[in-house]
Amino acid sequence: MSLFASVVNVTELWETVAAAFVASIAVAFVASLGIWGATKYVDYSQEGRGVTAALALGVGVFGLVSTMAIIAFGLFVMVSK
Amino acid sequence: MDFHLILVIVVVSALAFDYTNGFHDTANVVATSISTGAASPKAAIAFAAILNFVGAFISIEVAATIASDVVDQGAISGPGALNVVFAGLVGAIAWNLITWYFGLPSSSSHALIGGIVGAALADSGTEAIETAGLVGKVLIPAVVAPILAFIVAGLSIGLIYRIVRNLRPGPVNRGYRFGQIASGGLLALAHGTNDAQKTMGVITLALIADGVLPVGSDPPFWVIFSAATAIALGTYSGGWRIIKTTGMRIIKMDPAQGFASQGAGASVIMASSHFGFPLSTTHVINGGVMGSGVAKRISAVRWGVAGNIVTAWILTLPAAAAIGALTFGVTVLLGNGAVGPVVISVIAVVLIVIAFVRRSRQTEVIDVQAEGA
Repeated sequence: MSLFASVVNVTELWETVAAAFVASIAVAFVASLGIWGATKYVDYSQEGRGVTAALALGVGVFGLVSTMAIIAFGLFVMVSK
Repeated sequence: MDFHLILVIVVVSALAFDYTNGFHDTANVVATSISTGAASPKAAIAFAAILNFVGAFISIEVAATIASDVVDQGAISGPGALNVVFAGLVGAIAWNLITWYFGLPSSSSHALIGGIVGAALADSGTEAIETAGLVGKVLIPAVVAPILAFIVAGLSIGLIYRIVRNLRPGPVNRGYRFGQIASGGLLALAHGTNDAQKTMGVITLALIADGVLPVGSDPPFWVIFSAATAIALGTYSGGWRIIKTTGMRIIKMDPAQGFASQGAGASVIMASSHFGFPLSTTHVINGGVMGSGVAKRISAVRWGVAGNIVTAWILTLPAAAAIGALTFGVTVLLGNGAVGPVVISVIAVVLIVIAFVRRSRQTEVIDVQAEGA
């Protein structure tokens, strides 16, 4: 273990794994929320369920904005180092 | 005079490698977007080329790793040092072209590192190798990254399917195709960030060896700009044979899988670039593609094709190292001056032209047969 630690910066490796894991899963989640919201908004609107459609649209907008925010934050971290 | 002529040859060879890197890796960046119908081939390749160029300016951490953590800058100095860098580049370019010729998406990055290590070993033995840097910053991340992309893509697609499983497939597919514009763009940006920096690192190493830059220098702007331009031009030139292998032969993907695999690949490459790990985009995106396939159905992945790709990965470091060492040996036989690099460059250009002509003739035959079928 000490030999491994002597050649590998475990902290950097771990941070790489954690950052990639969190970013990818988070983007997949919020982007899917965006798609779910947009699709449900159309469905509920066609069914005449205005309030539910508006809620679905809110979820969709939240998903889209969150996706863009995560990507922008990731790029900012990269550029600002 | 000889010394500077070798430097010019090394810089030109490095940019040629960067071009072949872009050419070779285009497939990894755009294959999923094309195979899911998210973008036309021409649009995907042009978009990737532009973002490759932009990505090269984002960071220099990987360049610093290549320049200082793979071989000992102090151990390879003097006229022979530039021959080491040159021979390493020849090893990488040769291996890139061999795998391109046979349609195997091997790692350009590992070919470059393998070539440099092989040539440095032939020059100065194990003393020239930064073992800790090579193991800690190259070999271990090389193993971890594709596994990480595999797991992350698998979890991502599992999550995606859970969220959208009860929705109509039409809008969902359109949504993820739209999402692939962003995920594909990020992957291209990440590719430019990580891969163009390897060339910057090699040119910086050569400039240090030549005494133009002091030990420990960062790449100058002209190096960053020329590396960005070379990889973007290479990407634009494309790599159709390898696109076919990555995008369609490993797994037939839907847009959600394409989005998940590209997102996983971009995240892993960008996080690694941030910490200066010179990864293979080939390994990472193929890991992501397989992960998103396995999560849906294990039999969806064509394991025979995936096995061929893994074999190419395993062969890359030793094969490029062997070619690099052999090339260095030939330059030594021809003296430490510019004669060796000049002779080898001429031979290499002739072989490359022959390979391109043979390959294009074979492609024409396949096209004619396909039209006749």
